Amino acid sequence: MSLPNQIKYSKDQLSWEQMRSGDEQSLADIFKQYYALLYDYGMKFSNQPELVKDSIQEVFAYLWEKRKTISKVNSVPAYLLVSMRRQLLKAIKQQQRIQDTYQEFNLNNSNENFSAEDLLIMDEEIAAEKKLIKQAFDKIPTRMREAIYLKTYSGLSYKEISLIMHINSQVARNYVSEAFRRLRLILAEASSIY
Amino acid sequence: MTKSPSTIEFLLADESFQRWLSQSASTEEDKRWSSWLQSDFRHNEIHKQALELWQLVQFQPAALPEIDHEWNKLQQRLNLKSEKSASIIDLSSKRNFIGNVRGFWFRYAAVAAAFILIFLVWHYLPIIIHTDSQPFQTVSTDYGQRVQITLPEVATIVLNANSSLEYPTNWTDKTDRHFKLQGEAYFMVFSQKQGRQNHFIVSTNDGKVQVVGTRFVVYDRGLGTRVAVEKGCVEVFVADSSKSNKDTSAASIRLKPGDLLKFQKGDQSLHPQSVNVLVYSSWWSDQLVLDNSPFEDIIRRLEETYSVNIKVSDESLLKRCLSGSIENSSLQIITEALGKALQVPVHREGKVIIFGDSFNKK
Repeated sequence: MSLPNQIKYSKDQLSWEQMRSGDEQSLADIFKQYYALLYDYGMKFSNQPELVKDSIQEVFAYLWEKRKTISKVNSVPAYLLVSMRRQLLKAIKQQQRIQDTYQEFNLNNSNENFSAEDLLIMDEEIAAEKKLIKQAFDKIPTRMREAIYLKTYSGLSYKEISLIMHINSQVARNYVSEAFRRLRLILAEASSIY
Repeated sequence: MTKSPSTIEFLLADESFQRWLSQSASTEEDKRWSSWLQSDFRHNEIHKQALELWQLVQFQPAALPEIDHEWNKLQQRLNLKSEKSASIIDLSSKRNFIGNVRGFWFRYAAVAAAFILIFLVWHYLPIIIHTDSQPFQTVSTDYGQRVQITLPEVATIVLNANSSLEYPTNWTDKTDRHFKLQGEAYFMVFSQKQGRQNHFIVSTNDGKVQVVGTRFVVYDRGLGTRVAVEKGCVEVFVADSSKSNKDTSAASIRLKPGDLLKFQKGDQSLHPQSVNVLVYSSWWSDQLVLDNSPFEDIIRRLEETYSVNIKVSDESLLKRCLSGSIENSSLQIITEALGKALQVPVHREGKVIIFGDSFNKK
């Protein structure tokens, strides 16, 4: 099977190798090529632009400082997303610790990760339908939504998703399949009530 | 060869099938799935349902920050050497792209968007950059166009539509950073390393603004100059109206964050106002900020940026004031939002936009 992104990946790996040997232009190339991917993922994860921007800075600063000890990678986007996810979790944890100490300032943590608010829903759909789709989507567990996002929006392979989410690739595939199954059931049930 | 999968979910989890749904399959895969579709009439229904579900879970791209600016931040932090660059944002194509993207596969959409923008700009919006042997470089923008100029360790500048900026091409640690502006630009000046004390100067027909590490907007479209300071301090020197000596100034004043100063060549008394600076500086960002802004001011800004002619059916609309923020992506979005805020219909006929009921009513 021919993968459409094979060519991109080998160009990626070239930049990666050059970056590891200290080439700043390659760092710039990687930064600019994957900024949108990381930023979008971060925003779906936390919806806090400043926190996301800072996290990306951390990810690349770490990458540059540790370039000599970093190994070869099979997938540059997967590597970056793994670091991004770790960094986000760390930053969010820190934030919560601060909020816990000042409980009165506690933000409402209602903004769930990968929520239906981020879905691109067609304009033609009527309001009731839109609401239904969003409700159905939000009923799926967060981790399944994350897998769906990484698959449909970021276009990653199950192998890459498995690295990012710390699961094996068969589980990643099951998440996607199960998410679609549940979505279909919820929607079918709802439309039979109407 | 392919076993016929039993359920929609099974198909939807298949990477090859996914590529086929999002129209990024190889010709070989395409052939395989097309023959699958034709092999059984029930596959039509399965395909239809699968496609519907697939399209339900497409995500909206987040509004991106300025990537070049973020890169500069990283460069500064890591003390990297730097390359000079200017990138162009086309104000009209942003909306179009999101519109087209709906419902189909877009891998790394933002990266693609950047390529499309560069392509569009290259083809349709000529930008004039002279880099001959002369020591100055001029960057000009057309209507509906915005350029980001990155001068590492010096400044990031966003040049608004219908404007031009001239600056020296090569400078050493000792030369002053001198910019000549016509139109409007937002400056993010990097603070200088200790020990260096070169001036950062923006001049217009009416005078010059001198800076040490700050964020501010300068505006000059022929009716006097306007300076609004967001961060840090700037010093304004008003040009003498007599042409004799360029170096003498009629008056000078120091501005602090939140100050807005309007002045003209030869002005001797200067009166800065205290304002919400975002109203003057937000044009380059994702949100256009209004704070009790008269509609006529907003109209002027749109006319200057997009080369349109805006009319109102009722003169009293011009005096109405608006507050809030509007997504700053295209003229259409902005005018629709304004129409809603003013509760009047909006019509567009070519280059003319009319707010309020059509004239034929009376």
